[in-house]
Amino acid sequence: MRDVKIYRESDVPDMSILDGKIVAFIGYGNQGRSQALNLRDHGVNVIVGNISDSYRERANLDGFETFDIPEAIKRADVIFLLIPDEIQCDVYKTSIFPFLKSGSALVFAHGYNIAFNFIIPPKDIDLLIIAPRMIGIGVRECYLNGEGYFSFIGVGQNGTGKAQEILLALTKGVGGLTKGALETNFKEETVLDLFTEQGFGPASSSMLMKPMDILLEFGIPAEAILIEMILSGKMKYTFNGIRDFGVINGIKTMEDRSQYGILSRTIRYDKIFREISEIQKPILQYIEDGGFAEEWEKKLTKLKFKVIKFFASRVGFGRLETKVRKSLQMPEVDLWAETPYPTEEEIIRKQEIKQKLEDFQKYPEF
Amino acid sequence: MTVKIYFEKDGNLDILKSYNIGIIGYGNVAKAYALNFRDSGIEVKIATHHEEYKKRAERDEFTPLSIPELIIESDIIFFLVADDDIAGIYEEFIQPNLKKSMIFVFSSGYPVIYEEIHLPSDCTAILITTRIPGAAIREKYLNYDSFFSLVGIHQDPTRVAEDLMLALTLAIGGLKLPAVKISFAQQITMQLFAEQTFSYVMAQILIRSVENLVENGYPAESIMVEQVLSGEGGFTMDKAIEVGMMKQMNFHSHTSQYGQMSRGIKFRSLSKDVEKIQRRILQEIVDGEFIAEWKEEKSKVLLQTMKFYFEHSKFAEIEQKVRQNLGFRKLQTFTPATLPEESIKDLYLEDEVVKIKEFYGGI
Repeated sequence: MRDVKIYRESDVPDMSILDGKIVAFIGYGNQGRSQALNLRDHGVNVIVGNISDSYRERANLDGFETFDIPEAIKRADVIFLLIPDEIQCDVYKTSIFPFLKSGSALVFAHGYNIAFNFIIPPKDIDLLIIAPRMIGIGVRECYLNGEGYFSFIGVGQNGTGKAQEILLALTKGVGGLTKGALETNFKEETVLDLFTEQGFGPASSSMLMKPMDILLEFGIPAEAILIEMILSGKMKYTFNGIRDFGVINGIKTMEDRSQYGILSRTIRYDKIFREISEIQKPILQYIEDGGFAEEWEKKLTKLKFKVIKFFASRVGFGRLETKVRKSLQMPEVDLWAETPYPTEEEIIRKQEIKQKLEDFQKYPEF
Repeated sequence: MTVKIYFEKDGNLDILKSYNIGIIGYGNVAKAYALNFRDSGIEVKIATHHEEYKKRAERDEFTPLSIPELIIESDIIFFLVADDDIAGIYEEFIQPNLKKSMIFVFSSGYPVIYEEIHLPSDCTAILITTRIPGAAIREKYLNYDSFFSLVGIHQDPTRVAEDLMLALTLAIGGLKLPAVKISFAQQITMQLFAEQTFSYVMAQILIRSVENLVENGYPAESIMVEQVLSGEGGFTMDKAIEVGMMKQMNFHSHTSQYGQMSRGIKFRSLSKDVEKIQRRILQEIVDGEFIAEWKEEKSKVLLQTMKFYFEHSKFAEIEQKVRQNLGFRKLQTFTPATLPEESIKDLYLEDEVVKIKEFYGGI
């Protein structure tokens, strides 16, 4: 089994390598904002490069100096590229590459475009990846409450000879060392990400949709089924139980009868699990080969995607879900409404509630 | 068939004033209910047969009574002990002290449907279940948030059950989000079926995915962070609750959405076999076969055996190392399982054990 290097605070005593450097964040969504604020709290000189839109206004309100992207690139020694993968290539070509200074560092939060050679930066650039495994808002919140979050970090190209030091200083600055940063490379980060989406996710959902149909057929109201399976949050608590106690011990937090039911019935899936492994193997292979990236770049694929998505939301489960949410009078939520950033007060309150709940965690075993 | 759905306006706390409420048990759910009741301004009394839980209740400034005392002093009894203990407690402590027209609240349809207890016909039987852990019930309450519930009525001789059920659900912190009415039988069937077909089937897929990637040279720590430890799964479920399972897909990148949906088709070939397995699981629950099986002596032995091999699997070793390397602190020391060798011999379970060892030990 391959070992992995894990970096923590003690591995990076100081960030002096960033002294006098200007760090530009290209993109100011939740991920960009949280990382920029964390870095500024560490005393680093941070600016923001963004087109004129509401994100740029937000950056201004947060007290950052903001510029159009080319101008920010010209000023920066370190560039965090925190815009969606899909527009990265175009923005890189038109607004970044022509203005890039020799010896600067380019930081990605996802490996995709580098791993599959959609962006090939010049040789004299430090190419870094810092990929928090945490949603944008969480990156700020977990920094403020001291909990930290996991990240994947790595050097893709060492243009200045100091890429590793810069990488670690930046990781510390965005709050990525408190819990631990796992060393990776662009390709590995991308493959793990894509495989989780394509190999693990669909295999799980292929097991999870049918039980709802079966219960519906059995005469249980759809509303009750959706509460049991999704809306109650039971699945989330199972996920979190596995995270907190582990897969092996997580099961012990249940009653004996549940444990017996689960363990004895799961054996019946033996053949299915073997088949899942067989289906997963070529999926992994195809991702590693770059086959998937090539497929995704095709125009026809984008069309296919639209078709699949259209049908998924209008047949079977999608339709049932819409109906149930309506009868439960659940409000239609605006998908892109901004999630309010937690205030410091809210974060403190959350910590207090957590303290109060510690007692429950002490007695999980039945 | 129309489904009955209740909302906050349907619950009235005032009607609880004329009742004395008692809770048997002080496990996580009971504790959360008790504290929420108190914070809702309603006094409850506690009784538990569990020494450690007694201390817990005292720490929370309750004065635990004996179960017979509680029965004598209460009109409404929340019966919140593990399903396997219900029959024993009922027979020994409750039945001899039962008063006329008592109201029982259960958190599962199990004891009534599988005839663990026989309530006299003058008693009322109510079901209130939230399907989430006690800590979550309390957390939601403290956050001025709420939870969905499934509620039901089994016996209702005095026609008070519906109003009480709703008032009680409101008092423990529910009903600000809807409650859906189902029968006791539907509830326990769904609960058993969901646990046997859902979460741990997914855990097994996770185990296999991890193994697959480890074999291909990826570090176990990175895989586990990516797939579970980051907490992204929980976040996805939060969003699924907030905006819907289908709509939450929009929070993922297009690459991710396409990858998930297009690859789903590749697993379609399994669906017939999966369905067959799932239908049999349901049938066994409905027929009572599963519960009968669980009550057989050999099932406890097999459970110990399965746990033992699960804990001694290759994956268990990987997981332990990963959690240690990533600095996870142990929240709780769990009792390790031992292999019940003698019972296996006595009950002639060798053949079944071979299968178990192959399945759980092999991974």
